[in-house]
Amino acid sequence: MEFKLQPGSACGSLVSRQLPQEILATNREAAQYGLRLTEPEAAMLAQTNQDAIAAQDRIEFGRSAALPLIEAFMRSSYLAPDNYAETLSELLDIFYEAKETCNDLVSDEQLIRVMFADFETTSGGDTERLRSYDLPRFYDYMRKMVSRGIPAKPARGEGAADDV
Amino acid sequence: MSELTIQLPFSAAELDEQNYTASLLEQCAAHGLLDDSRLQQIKDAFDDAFAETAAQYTRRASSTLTRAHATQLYESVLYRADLFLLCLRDPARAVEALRTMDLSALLKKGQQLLAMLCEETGRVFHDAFSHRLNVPVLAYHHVMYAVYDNFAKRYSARFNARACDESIDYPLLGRQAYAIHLDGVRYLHAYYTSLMHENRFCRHCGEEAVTVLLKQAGRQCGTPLRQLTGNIAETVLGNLLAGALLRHDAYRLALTAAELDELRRTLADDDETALTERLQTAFAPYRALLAEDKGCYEYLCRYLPRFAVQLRQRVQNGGLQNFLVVFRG
Repeated sequence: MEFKLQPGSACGSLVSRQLPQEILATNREAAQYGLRLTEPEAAMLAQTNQDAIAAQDRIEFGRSAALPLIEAFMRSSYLAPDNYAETLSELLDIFYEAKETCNDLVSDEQLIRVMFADFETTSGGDTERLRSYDLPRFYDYMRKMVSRGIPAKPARGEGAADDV
Repeated sequence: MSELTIQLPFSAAELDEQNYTASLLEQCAAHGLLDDSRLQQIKDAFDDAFAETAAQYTRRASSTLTRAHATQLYESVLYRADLFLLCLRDPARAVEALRTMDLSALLKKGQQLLAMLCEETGRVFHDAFSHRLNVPVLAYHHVMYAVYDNFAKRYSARFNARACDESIDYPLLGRQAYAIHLDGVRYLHAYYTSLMHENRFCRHCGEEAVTVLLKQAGRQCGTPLRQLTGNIAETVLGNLLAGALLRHDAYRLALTAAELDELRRTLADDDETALTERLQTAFAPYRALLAEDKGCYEYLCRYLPRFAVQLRQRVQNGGLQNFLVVFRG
């Protein structure tokens, strides 16, 4: 057996294995909004999640951000049964791209909140507008905050010698 | 853990001490010392520890990390395992630990060792600092007054254990700082342990005598004292050893040109082995003089063979006067 130790070697695949089932479990709550994902759609979203993470050269280690993203966006007034899975897939792509662009300065929850607020208002439910117009305004805001030395609730820990 | 240790099909030299756990596991996998299910258990345990460390790093606010950050965190987990397995001082015992120990307990012990090593490094530094020389040599001043403080402020044992970003130009006795092939706090511990012995030794010689010697060394090579780049203890020990060969009083550092001529004549026919033995004999009285500081004596003794090589070269090519510090007298 070849043995290589690297981050995400096992935990990444464990997260991915369970994710389709966890995505399907969001149907219980989505039902009240008239939305539902099929098994193939859940598998497709899990795959999109994995591909989007890989495309940004990131490593997933905890409860997948796909789940809170689905839980947030199922409330959107722009999502309907015929565009639900496809829009979620695009939103996942946008989410990881934004995460990388923000240099990890925002938490998953904050970013989902910003994405949802823009999607519901200025973007008018248009994912392309969200990606290319509204989120870049948020990135500019983040950069300004950082350049002024105002921490935008960093999602990073900081160390010290006794920080064991 | 069983007291019986196995005969390993690989040698300790084949292991990478800086990536000890990973290289040990690679050897175990290659030679079938751990079965696939145990290797998977080990991987899973490291992944779990990584996931928890990553969650702490992101303050449980993110589910992903850049690969660079993830690698840094994963390496920090492996660093804990390295410390525990290295402290067993025997690859066979380390393999036995990997075979039988609960992995979370192993990582916990590694974490405790890491905390102890950080504390110990602080103690070693403070010992070195309390025996420091008040000489205005900039490179030395930097390691005494800036490097450790910066390290203590910046080092993250939990999130970036392998890092040691401090810039250290000041060399040690007989070797450059970069020749210490260790990482993280282990590097700084090794560096300041050496410096502690060197400072203690120089203090035994007397701070004033050392300062006079260094000023003379500066004059000899046309460099202001503050810009000296060599190791202070090396300069001091060189003169002390030459003095010991000439049967000077203990800790006397001054040498005259006439004494160097005498030394050259005395040593002219010695090969490296003979010269090393001669140095060991001449330095032997310091075992008693440094009886309270055995670690310091042993540290200095390790330098003797290297000094013998350099001294012989200088005796052969007539360059003793540039090698040792000469006082007009």
